[in-house]
Amino acid sequence: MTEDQEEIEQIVETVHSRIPDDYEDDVERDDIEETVRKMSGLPEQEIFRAATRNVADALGVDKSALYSESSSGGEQSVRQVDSLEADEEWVTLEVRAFHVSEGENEAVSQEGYLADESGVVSFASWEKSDVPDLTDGQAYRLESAVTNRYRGNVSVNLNSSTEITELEEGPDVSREDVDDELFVQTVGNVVSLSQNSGLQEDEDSNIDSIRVTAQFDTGDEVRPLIIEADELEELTGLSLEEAKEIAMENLDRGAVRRELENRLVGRYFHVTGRQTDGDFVVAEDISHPSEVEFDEQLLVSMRSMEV
Amino acid sequence: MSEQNQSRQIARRVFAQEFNSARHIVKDGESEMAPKFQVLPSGGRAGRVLVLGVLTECEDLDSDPDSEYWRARVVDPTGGFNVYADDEFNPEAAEVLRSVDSVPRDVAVVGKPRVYTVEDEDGEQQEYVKLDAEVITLLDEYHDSPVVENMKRYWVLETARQTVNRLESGRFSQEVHELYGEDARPEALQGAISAMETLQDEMAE
Repeated sequence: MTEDQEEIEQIVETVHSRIPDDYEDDVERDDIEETVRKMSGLPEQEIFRAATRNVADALGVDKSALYSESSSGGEQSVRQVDSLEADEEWVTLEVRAFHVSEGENEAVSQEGYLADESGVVSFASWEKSDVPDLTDGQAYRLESAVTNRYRGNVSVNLNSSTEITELEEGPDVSREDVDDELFVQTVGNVVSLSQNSGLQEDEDSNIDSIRVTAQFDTGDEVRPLIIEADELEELTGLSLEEAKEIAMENLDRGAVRRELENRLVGRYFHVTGRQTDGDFVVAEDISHPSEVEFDEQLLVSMRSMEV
Repeated sequence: MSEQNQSRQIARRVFAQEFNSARHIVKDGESEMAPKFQVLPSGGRAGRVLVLGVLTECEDLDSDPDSEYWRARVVDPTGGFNVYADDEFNPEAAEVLRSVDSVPRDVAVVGKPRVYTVEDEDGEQQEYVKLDAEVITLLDEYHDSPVVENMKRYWVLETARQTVNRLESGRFSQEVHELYGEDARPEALQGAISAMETLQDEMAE
């Protein structure tokens, strides 16, 4: 689904969800969608207003009747983060925000994580929706947030219909709890790079980034480790521009992968990474092990071993 | 990807002394493509091995100018690995070895253990263990020497720990006894101890 399509769906869903139960059969979802689609490109607030008015007119009710449904949010039950599963579900959460940052994608104004006692979920606020910024560590009640899937994981979108209220108390969850859930710390060796490592194309086949998926071998297990452009440049000294030059000089994009292999494989790394589905770890902080210390205790126990 | 990863074999950390004494390769299954594993005297099986050490020899054995067959020796505190790379099957490893114009160099090798047979002067078949390189990289090409030294030390510590873990687990100890004799396990331990002692001396300097 494209971003615009997603936004349209969300607006339609919100407006539709505000229709009082008694009238629900009197309005077709498709009709709302048509109205919204005609106005796409206009500010989201305006589209909401107009679509809501249209529905109110069609039903012959005052449009405040449609707003009251959602503003009676106090009755909406608060969902636990770990119970979020489905796509496109409208939910109310009481959560604390962590690791809040500007969106990597321009369409996203803020992204980060929302946590309660039950678990952690990522969130994104749409730039176009003018969602108020969340503050790191602050607790919020979020009404009419929408679940979706992002890279295979459940995520929460905040949009212009989301009501955000700061909470005095909020869920009892600390940054440490969240980090334990999200991050893994490990030491291992990069024993190979996957074939798709190197220059990456966007949807229009333009080279727009560099990334590797490394096989990270800790001696106990092998996990795929994703190293993104910034960390990659820091570790290998190879920037996106230089990588493009290497590909051009060699008339072969595989040359970039080989160059990265020469600079990464066989090295030990200390990694703090974000765990994702499919066993992937995305490197957030990666460096060579600092000063190694001799393990006196190990040698003592080896000398006394009976085999 | 995750499926591919489940089958990805862990690279064993083994000292050269133990590696070179492990001449039994077993197949995991009947089919032609079934993966092969080296039975390690300390216990456990190695389908893949990781070595960080010093490249001390490097030569193209192939007399045909159109092809290359590289042999390299990579040394750890207990001995040397004979590492091979064929430019047909592994052009990248061959390319790295071709680029080496002087030794010693600090290298990392990931490869598969294999056994080969050579006829000696008396016409006897002698078996040797080699490491067929999957990847060879030159560590000292891109890092300052303290960084490389640190990684090589890390490998020795890790390899000692892994050797101890394999010995302690007692896995395949009966098989090891039958294949390699009763001294095999104590020798593997002794090799790891000597590697640790060498490292201790080096780090005390």
